[in-house]
Amino acid sequence: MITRLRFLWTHHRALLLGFAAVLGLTLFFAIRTLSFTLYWMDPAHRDQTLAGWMTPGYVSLSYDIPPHLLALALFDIPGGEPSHQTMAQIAENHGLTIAALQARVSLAAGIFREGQP
Amino acid sequence: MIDTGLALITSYGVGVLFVTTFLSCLALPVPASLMMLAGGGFAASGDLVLTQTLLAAFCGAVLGDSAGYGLGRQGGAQLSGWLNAHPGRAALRAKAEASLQTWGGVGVFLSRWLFSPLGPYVNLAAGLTAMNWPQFAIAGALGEAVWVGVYVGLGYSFADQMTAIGQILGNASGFLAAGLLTVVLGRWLWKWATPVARQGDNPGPHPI
Repeated sequence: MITRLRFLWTHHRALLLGFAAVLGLTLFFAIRTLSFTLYWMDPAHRDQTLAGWMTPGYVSLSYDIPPHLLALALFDIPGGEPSHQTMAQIAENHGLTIAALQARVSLAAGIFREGQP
Repeated sequence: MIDTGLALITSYGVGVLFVTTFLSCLALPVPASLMMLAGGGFAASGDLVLTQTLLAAFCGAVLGDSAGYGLGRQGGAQLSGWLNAHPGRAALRAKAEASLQTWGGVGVFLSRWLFSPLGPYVNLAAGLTAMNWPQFAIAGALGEAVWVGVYVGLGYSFADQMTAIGQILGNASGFLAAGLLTVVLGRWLWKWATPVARQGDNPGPHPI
């Protein structure tokens, strides 16, 4: 093994370094895959944090609350139907931050879940 | 960047997915996998139509592959003289062409979804070595169907856990692609060093 390594280090150094680099990358991704899997297996981490790109339909799916209830939290979108406005646009229309919307959505989700059997 | 991309989907619809998968096949750094997961999620929430989402991502990917192949082919024609000028390079090229004709179909298919980070480079290599076009196109389209189907399907089925799936799959595909390179490169190096290990410190033939 040492003879092989010495030969490769002398004659194919770039490729040997390349091998070490891809081996390192493989380990790096293996650890990240494992740690993300463990992180997301914890149910406490599952509600997705509100982000600017999310639509009301998406948020109602993610937080598992009915659209009409979410509509109230998001300042009454007519009919409670999925709207193509994003959280960023809703926040801007009402002069709020995403964090403030998050508080309203979390509150609505909490109230709804309390009422569930 | 990712948030901007996702906001673009909600504002402009499935056309954004088409452009994203197209660009990702040319090795441009766009978050195609996450965008497809989100596309599936938006289909589940009623913001997009599922069939349109699948079709847009698929067509973008297939056209992107063809564009990558075309670029490689053009580059190959220009590099041809340089490659053939040296017997070592010409032999290497002949070897690469032969192995692509034998294994190319499987390689192209698997590099669409299982080893997806390698996909764009396989497109260029296939064009560069003038791989049989129908073989490339059919294997590529089949592989893209799996890629698009898996990601949009997962986004659709598990819309409420999209971030989790995106992070796990993103790292798992990085692991598979880097792992494949490690195994292939490791095998080459092992083979080259074997005569030396047998004969002591007598250097073996230069591989390239």
